[in-house]
Amino acid sequence: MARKMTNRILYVEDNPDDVLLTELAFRKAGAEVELTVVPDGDKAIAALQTNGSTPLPDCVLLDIKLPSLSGLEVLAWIRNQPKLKRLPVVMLTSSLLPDDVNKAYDLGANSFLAKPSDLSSLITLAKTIDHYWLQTNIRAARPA
Amino acid sequence: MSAEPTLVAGAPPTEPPSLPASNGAGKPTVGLKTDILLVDDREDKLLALEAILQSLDQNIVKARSGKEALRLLLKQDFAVILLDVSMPGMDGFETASLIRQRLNSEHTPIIFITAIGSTENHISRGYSLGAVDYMLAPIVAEVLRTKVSVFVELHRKTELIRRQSEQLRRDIAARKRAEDQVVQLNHQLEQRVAELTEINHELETFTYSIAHDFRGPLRSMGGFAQALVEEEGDKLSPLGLEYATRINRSAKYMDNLLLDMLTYSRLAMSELPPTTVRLEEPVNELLGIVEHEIRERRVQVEVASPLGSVFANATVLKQILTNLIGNSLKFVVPDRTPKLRIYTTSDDKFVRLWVEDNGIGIAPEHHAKIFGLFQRLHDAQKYPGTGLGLALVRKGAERMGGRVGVESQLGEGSRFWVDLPVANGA
Repeated sequence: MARKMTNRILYVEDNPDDVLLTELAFRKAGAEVELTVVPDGDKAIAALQTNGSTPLPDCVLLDIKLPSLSGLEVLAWIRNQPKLKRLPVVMLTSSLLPDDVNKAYDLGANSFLAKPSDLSSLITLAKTIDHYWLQTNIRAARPA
Repeated sequence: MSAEPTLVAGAPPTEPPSLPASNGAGKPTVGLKTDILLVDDREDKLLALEAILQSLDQNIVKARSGKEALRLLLKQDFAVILLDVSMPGMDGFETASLIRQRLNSEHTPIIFITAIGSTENHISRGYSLGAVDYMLAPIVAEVLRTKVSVFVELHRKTELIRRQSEQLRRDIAARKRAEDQVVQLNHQLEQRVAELTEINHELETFTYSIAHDFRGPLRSMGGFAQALVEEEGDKLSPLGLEYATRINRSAKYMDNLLLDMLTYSRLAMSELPPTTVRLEEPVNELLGIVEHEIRERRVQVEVASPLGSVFANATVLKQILTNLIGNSLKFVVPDRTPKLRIYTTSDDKFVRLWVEDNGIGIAPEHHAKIFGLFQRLHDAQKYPGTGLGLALVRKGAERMGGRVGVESQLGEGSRFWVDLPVANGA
């Protein structure tokens, strides 16, 4: 395997328990991932406005129910940024409302994942995210 | 002598206002007696007139003077007045002019009766006072009867029309009131429906929010309990490990409960667009998912193809089948080879999908309640479940325009059925 680079995920999640469990899941999944965690929509946008000082993440994991800006608002903002419109955004949320699912895809989400309720499933999900979005999926070039 | 009482004052007609059939030829129609007033100072002439008119079968009222006639006219209405011209005191002309001055008798027909040889002036004065006719004595009985019967008939018809229009007016008023009431009730009903729909929606949203928001902390409880076992298990005593496992198991059970609640409220809230579904597709897909269980328990599965096609929402149909097939595999009798048979019967409107097992069965008294929310017939130790499965089946079927039911005897297995609209052209 020619996989040396550690992948970077921007994880937008306000629930510290979920953060802790997801970090544990990625660790147990054996994924070499650098998780940057921000607890709300404003901080997510701030983290993505880097002006090239820090590299962009390879993928954004985005919760929907967030303080300040909601996940869907952050998603809309991302898709409006010329430099971010090709960035993979994966919704990771406990909302199963068809409205939320449809809106997320309409706004350009790449995937919509339900938060699993137990650790084993969360580990499987972490493996899947790592395998699919970080290793298998071929990413587009960043728009100029 | 007449059998009819004479001098009947103020006896109003009491018959119902039905339109009487005419029996023609001058004889007034039956059913409604009118009053005829005879005014003459001479008893023999009164008797003669009464005798002539008796065959008309009306109420005849006699007055011996103009004053008495006026008094009677105060109390009642007459179809016609036969008025003698020459009477002592107040004569016929004076009486007539006083009759005409009163509002309720200003149109009552008056026939003057006078002796032959009266002057032309006499007759014309009578007409100018409002007489409608003039008869010269000696009177020809047939002529008088005919003339009087015309006025009797006129009076009866006028009275009938008055009564009918009064009845009509009452009917219209009653109908208008009834219509107003219907409109008002309809309005109330619409308001009630709108209120109930709103309350229902609020309740469903509330259920959804509760189920959703409860899952968050549960995820933490279950997740950390599992992490405790897996990450820190070496530092725990066997009892500590068991406690953590129990916490995790309970969290998982509650999560299943909340998931079912979420599914149920989504079933109630969401749009469920139907498509044509060939029943083999979801049936085989779901049997594939439980294949491991089927093999492990050596379940004899039979699918009676072709099952036909229905017009249904594929997702909801799968939820229904998941629950029914799941129940068949769950409620088995120990030491009896489980059998699961899936087949359909149908008419021109519905396909009835049957899911039949040879499991523990359900006593008839429980058939109605098992489709309710949170209904469980068994303890969770023996047959785990949330008590929502069949409620989901029913809600799903109803949302797709179908119905559900069960045929079962305790100890002899169950046959659940779901009626779904048949697919067009299937």
